[in-house]
Amino acid sequence: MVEVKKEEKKVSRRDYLKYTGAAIGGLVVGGALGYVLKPTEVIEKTVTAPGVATTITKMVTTTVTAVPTTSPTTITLTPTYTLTKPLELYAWDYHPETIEEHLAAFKEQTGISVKLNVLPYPGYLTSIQSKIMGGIQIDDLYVQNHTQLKWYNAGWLHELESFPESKKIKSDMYKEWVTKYTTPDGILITLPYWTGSYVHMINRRIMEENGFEYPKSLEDIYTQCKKLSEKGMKAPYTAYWSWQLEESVVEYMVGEGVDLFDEKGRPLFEDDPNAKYVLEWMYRMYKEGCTSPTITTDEVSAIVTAWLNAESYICNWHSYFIETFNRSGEGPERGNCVIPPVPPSSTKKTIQIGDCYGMFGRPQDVMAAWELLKFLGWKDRKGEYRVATTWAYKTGLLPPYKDWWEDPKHKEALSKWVDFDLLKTYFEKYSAAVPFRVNILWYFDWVVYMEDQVKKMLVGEVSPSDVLKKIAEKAKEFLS
Amino acid sequence: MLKNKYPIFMIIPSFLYIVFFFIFPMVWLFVMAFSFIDLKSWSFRFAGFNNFAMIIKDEEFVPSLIRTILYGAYVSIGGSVIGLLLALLANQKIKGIGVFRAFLVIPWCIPPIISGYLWLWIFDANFGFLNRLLYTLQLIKRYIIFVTRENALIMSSIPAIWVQSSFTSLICLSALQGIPIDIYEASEIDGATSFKRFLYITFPFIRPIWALAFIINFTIGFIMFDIIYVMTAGGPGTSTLLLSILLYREAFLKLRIETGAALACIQLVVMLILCTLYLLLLYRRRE
Repeated sequence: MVEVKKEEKKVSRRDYLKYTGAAIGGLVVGGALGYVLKPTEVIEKTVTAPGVATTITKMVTTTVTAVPTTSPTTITLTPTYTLTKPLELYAWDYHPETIEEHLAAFKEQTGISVKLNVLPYPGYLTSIQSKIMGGIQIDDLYVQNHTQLKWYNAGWLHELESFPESKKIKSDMYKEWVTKYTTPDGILITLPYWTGSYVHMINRRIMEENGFEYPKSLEDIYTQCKKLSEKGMKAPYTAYWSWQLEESVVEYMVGEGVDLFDEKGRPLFEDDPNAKYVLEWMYRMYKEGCTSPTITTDEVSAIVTAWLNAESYICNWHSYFIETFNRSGEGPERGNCVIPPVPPSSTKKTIQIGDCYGMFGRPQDVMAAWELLKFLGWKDRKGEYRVATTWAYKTGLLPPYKDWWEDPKHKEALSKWVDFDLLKTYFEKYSAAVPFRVNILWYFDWVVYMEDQVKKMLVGEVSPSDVLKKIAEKAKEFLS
Repeated sequence: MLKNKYPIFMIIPSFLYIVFFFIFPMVWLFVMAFSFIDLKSWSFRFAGFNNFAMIIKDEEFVPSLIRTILYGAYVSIGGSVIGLLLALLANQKIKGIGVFRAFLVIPWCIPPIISGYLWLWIFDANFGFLNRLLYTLQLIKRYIIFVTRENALIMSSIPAIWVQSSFTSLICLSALQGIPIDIYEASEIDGATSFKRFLYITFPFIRPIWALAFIINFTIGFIMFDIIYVMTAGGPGTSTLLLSILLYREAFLKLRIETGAALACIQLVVMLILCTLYLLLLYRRRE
C-alpha cells in the first residue's frame, strides 16, 4: 500500500508578512480616518480680555496663604507649589552657563528647582514648536517677539495680566516699550529677555581717517560708503539682510517717516514716496558696491568678522553688538565702535528690538512658573534686577526698565564699552515702538513674501515700485 | 510547526519599527495635508485639496519646484560620477590605499549642516579659504565672489556632492570588490584596454548598485535643507529657494502645519514619479 501523505498546508513567509502588513496598515488608516472624520467643534479663536479670570481660577490648584508682615500696609503672599519635578525651562543656546547661574540663584531664593533645556538658536523655532506639538512638558520658555501673538492664540503662552505684579511690571518699563510684550488688547503675555535699539555701529578710526562726520541721513551713509568702496573696502555697509532683512527694512521705513500699517493692519505705504526712496536707496547701496556683495547670504560670523577686521565701516544691527565690537570681539578694530548721536534718518528715529520670556500655556504649576518668569524677566525676590544686570554687564543685552537705567552703578559698569547716556537716549527718545510687528497675526507671513520681493529687487529682478505694489497687494490679501 | 513560526517572530520587531517610524508618519502626513488644524484644541477638520491649492497658487511654488529638481539632478550626477571615480581609485592595489579609503568616509560622517558651514567659509568672498589660497598662489589679483545669483544653485550643491560622492564611493567600492578577477584576466588576454574593461565588465557589474546610489543621491538633493539654510538662506534673490525652504517657512515660520504637510506630500509624489521614470528608463535599456 502506498501511503499518500497529505500535504501540510504551510503559510509562506511572504503571505504572512503580506497579510499582517495589510492588517496593521488597515488598522492605522482606519484609526487615522476615524480620528479625522469624527465631528469636531468649530473653535473660534478668542483673545482673553483683561479682567477675565476664568482661565486662571481653573488652572490654579495651589493655595495661597496671606502672611501679614509687620507693616500694616503690605501683605506678603507665600504661595505653596505643587511641583512633583523641577520646572522645565526651554532656552536657546546663548551663554547657557549664565542661565544655569541664574537658575541656581533662583533655587537659592525660592527653593524651586529648574531644569534647563537648551536648543540651538538657528533651529529654535522648529525644535520648540515640534516639541510643543509633540506634547512635552514646558513651564517657561524663550519666545521670539514676533511669534508671541501666534503662540498665545494657539494656547502655547499663558496670559500674564491676571498676576498681581503685572501692572507694576508694565509701569516699571519705558511706556513706549510696553506694547512689545502685550496683545493688541493690552494683555501682558511675555516679559523682556533682552531689548535693544537698531543702531548704525560706526568704526570711529575709519570715520576720522577719512574726514567723515557722523552720518545724519541715509544719503550720508551712501556717500561715505561709496567713497570707501572706491578706495577698495570690500563691505563698507553690512547688515543681517539674509535672515533679518525685515528688521532693516522696517528700521529704514520708520526712520524716513513711512507708516507701514494702521491699527487694523491696512497697508499705508503703497503710494508713499518715502517708502519708494528707502527701497531705491537699498538697491543703490547693493548695486554700487556700498554693501557686502554677499549681504543677502552673509551669516552672523561673516558680518562681525568683517567689521572687526576693517573690511566694513558701518554695521547696522542690534545695539548689543556694540559690546562685541568694543569689548569681547576679536580683531584689530576692537574698541573703535561708536554710534551716531542721533539715528541717521529724517525722523531721527530707529526701532525697538528684542526677545522675551513666556510662560507655557499649561505649566505644571502656574505660580511656580510665574515665580521663575518674574525672576528672569523682572526682579528677583530681593527686588533687584539680577538677571537683567548680569546680561547687560556680560553681553550688552539690555532691559527696558526705567529705574534700571537710572541706577548710576550700571552707568559706571557699561561706560567701559559704550556711551551710556547716548544709549539711554536711544532707548528713551529715539526707539520707536513698532506694534504691527507683534500685533498683526499675519505679519510674518507677509514678511516672508516681502523679503523675497526685496531680495529680488536687490538683484535687479523687480523694480522698487513693483515691490511696493506687490507687497501692498499681498497685505490686502491677508487682510481679506 | 514551531520551526516555521520562529523566523516570523524574529522579523516582527523590525516590521513594527517600519510601521511606526515610516508608515505611520507617512499616513499622518497625508492626514495633516488634507486637514485644517486648530493648534489650540489640536482638532482636525477635513479640508479637501484646499491646502494643496494654497501651495500651488503661491507664485514661488513652480520656480522652487524647478530649482529643486535641478538641485537634485546636480547632486545625483555630481555625487554619482565623482563617487564612482573615487571608488575606482580606491579599488587599486597600491600602497597606502587603506588610508585613502579611510579618508573617503569622512565627508559622509559630517552632518550636512556642518558641511554647509564648512563650504560657506571656503567660498566666503571676504575671508574664504579658497580666495586666500588662490590669492597667495597669485592666481587671482582680487578676491572672487564665488556664489552669485547666476551660479548659487550649482555652488550650493557642491557640499552635497562632496558628501554624496563619499557615500557613492563606499557602496560602489564594495560592489567593485565583488567582481571576479578571472574575468579581468580573461579580458586582458583578449587584449581589452582599461576603458573597454570598465565599459564591458566593471560598469555592468556595478550598475544596479550605482543606479541605486544615483536615486539616493537625487533624493538627498531633492530634500536638502541644512546646506541651503546655512549657505544661502534661499538667496541671492530667490535663486536657491528650494521646496525644503518653502516647507520650513510654511510649517515653522507661518505656523501653518497643514500647508507644510501638503508641500511635503507634493515633494514626495514628485520624487516618486521622477525615481520611477528613471528606473523604468534604466531597466528598459537593459532589456
